[in-house]
Amino acid sequence: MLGRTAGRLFWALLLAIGCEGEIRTWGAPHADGTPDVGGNANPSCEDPSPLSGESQRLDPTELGNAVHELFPFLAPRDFGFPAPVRTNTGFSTYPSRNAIVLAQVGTIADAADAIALKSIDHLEHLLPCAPEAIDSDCVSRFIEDFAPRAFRGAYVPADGDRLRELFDALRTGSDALPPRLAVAGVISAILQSPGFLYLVESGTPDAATGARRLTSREIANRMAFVLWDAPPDQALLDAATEGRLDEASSRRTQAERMLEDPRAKAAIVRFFREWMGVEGKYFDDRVSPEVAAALEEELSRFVVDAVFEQGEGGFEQLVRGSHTFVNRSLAMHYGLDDVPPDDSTWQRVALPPTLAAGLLSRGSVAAAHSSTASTSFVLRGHFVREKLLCQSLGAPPPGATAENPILPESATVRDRIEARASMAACAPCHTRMDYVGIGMEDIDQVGRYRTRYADEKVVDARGELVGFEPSEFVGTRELGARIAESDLFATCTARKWFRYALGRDDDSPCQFAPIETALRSGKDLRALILSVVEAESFVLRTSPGDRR
Amino acid sequence: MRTKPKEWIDGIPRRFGRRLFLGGAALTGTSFFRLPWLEAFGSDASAQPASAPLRLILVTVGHSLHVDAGSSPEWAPAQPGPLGELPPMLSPLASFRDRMVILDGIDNLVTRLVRSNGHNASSRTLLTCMPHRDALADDGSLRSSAPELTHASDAAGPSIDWTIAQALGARPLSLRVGEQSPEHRRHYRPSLSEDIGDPNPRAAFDGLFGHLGADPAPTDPRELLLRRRRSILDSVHGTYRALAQRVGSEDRQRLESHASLIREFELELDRTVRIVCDEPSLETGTLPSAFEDGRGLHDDVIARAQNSLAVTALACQATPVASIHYSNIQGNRFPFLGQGSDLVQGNWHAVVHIDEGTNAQRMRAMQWYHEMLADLLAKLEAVREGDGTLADHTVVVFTSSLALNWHSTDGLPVFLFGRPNGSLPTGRFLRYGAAGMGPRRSLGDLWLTLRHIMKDPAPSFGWDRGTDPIDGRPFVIGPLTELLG
Repeated sequence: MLGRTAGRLFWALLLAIGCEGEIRTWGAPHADGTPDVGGNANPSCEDPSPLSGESQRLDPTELGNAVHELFPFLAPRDFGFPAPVRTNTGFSTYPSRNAIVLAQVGTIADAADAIALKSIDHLEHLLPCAPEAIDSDCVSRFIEDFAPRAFRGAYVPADGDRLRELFDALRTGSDALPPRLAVAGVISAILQSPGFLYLVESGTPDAATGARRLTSREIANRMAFVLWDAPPDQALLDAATEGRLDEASSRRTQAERMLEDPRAKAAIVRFFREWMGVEGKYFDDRVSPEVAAALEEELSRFVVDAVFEQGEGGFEQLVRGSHTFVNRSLAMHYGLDDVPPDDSTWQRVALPPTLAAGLLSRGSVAAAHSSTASTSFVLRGHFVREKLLCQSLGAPPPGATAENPILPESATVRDRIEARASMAACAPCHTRMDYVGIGMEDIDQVGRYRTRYADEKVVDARGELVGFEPSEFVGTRELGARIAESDLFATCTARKWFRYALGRDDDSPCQFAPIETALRSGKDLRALILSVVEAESFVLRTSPGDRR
Repeated sequence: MRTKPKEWIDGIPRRFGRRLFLGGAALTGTSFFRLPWLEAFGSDASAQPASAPLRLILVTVGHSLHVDAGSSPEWAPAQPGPLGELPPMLSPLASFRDRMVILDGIDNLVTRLVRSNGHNASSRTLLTCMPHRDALADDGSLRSSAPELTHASDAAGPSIDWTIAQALGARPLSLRVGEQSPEHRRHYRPSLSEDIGDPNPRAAFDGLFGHLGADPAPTDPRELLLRRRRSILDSVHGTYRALAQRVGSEDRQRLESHASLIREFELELDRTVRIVCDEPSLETGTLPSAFEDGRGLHDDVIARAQNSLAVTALACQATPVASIHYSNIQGNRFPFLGQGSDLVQGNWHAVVHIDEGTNAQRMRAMQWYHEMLADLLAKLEAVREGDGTLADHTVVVFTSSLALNWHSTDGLPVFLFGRPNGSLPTGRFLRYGAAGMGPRRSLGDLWLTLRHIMKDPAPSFGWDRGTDPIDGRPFVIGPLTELLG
């Protein structure tokens, strides 16, 4: 490896150039010489500042569940509402990822029209009058019942007036609609409204903090969409109506109940999928369709087991787990001895030590951070630093991207890494990524252990976690153990869940300190999941315009 | 005589109408494109104004055209001057050589102002020549420590296609071949909202011409409801505005911006389209059901259909400006170029970065883009207009957001085609930075030149303050006078 000591000094000097703006999370020394490990510097946190408030636009799964809640005769599914922007950074719950673009206005209108047109065959279940006898009074009563439910609390009487005016407008003119279709028009308008599409959190002014405190109904909404990807059920609404959700302990009680519901599993798996970067189509033709489907299912089963079954220790399983779940195709894919009889039979199996690195060695995660034909030490190193340790690398500085070292075909992986490590513009960040990534070369791009590449070259998986003591490791399994022992991983896990659950990419350690404490005390992922609803940050919002 | 000259059609929402698009006829080659309704053009002077309007088509790809990491760009001829035999990569364009100008020495300098992933930075500045909005202070100056340009960043200026179309009193037609990738956005309206382009030629055709076949008295509930979409959107708009008043300031902004997009969408519904042809129709090969599979499995069919549509739109004068963006950058397979299998089995992104794949694969794929460009040019020539063809009144510009194999934006490939009334002498290879040509020039200068060619003689385009932080070059000097001849 390149002259190590000299190399480190070199990177330290260049840090301010290469990882511009990210030094605080990076282990750059403070004035007193102590490194900043990116952990929670001020654990007392008596007065966490509230999160800024921006309403999150719901995703197609959540909207599908919300449609089902309003129209029980329509099964929950994707109704064509626009999906969040697909990227490898951040969570789909971030307002920046679900910002609207012009083309989506039409997509939303099309989806809303389609649902509204389906609903007119079932008007007898929606209207307070016979569908043959629709009049203004009937529509008025329908709006007063239906719109508040659809808007989940973000309804004021003026909204009803506007919808009544719409009905009257649709009934008049040269292209007047018949009564049923005019009702469909009103329904379409409701489904295009912010109260339906967004998780509106306007809150009420909080005298103590100067921030805005979410209303009981808004708290119920957030709890339900975080834990279920669906609107609140009656029990949660009752708790909201009785004012119980204003107390952290009652929120906890409700959340415990909610985690027993099957919907919680899919919702929690969604968080882990997004956190691990396993979104979208990652398998291409690298594996058969059977194995691709099995890899997806394996990830879900592994996460559900770690969160809901493992209790204490479940947290470390994420990077150290020595078991997994396989069907026949997947057991053969991994080369396991224990092969289930068919693909519909799933078994929990022990993994050989070489594959015992939890999610790090699972095929879905491996594929998500590889290119199609080979592994990628850059993507893997980036994944470990940014997603597991919350060490932000930022973007390459201007000018850094213009050059790529040109090496002969015969160059090894290590040759390629060292060539980039010797380039001033690239080294500060790439040494942090690439030397981690090379240590994972013993797992191929679809999660199989290997000692040789396809061309028979021997795999060299000696890696280095620059900035850690000790820093050197060999292979994915040792890396997983090193990550599990790192304080950064627990802090990062708490931070990721907090950010996902609150839909905020801008936070301070104090805001998620209670969640981090909950995780550290028992290393129990279920406790982590539950703790977020207890945090004061869960129910407070602010914005620059608010006076403190 | 089937053509009704200068028909005005207005007041009918553009998303209406029955599907005029005739899919399913598997035709290839030149017979692929038929414009029976244009037959009358050349023969009847009264149907055609003496000087046909000037049109523009912009074609862009999101990756470098580089094939061999060690060599100079394979698209550039060896020597500047009159165009001789084209380099092998451009061989599909051989018959258009006398209509072509190849430009070298054009650098996108604006990427030097932004911190971002190399694709994001190059793509979002390609047609705007502006940094992102977060990079600018309230007075429009560049902030000293600007935040990263991310997938969520807003543009700080409209793209060149929208700029020119607006100057011509029109709206451009944006077409896409491939998936919508957040890393490869490039078209922005004057309102700065993103124009993602239409990946589906069938839907785009309906959007332009569907109202021509609209049933005056529809009975289909969907059509009836669509017809009242504006009333519904008006009501929804009111709900957004009202809620915006009840939430915090950041949220207010978010809901207000949703409301303003609803208004913008309503304006699109109201668009008045003036067309000069009677029954626009389009035949395509068998279009796939999915246009954004991410692998480009049917891009040969889709690209030819989008070419046809762009030409139809220009021929009918539904718009003077169209763009076609080849947007697949991750998973392109080119199955139609392989010998029974995909041309590219690995990751296309890694292949264009010359980390994977072979030179032969890259060369074949790059040639394909030029085959599609040749298809577009042939279709322009197939439309008779005035004394010549539509190609005589159309400037076609092809470029890419990246230059060399990595993320460099210095030395972008730029090809121009046309015979726009002699103002763009063709059949030449110009290399800025070479002897006798003056220094290398910026993309801002190129787009400014295009504005001048398109009779929009503005003083500048895009970012024009200060100099770039690496070489101290100005972002805009002026039009490329050598190009104008």
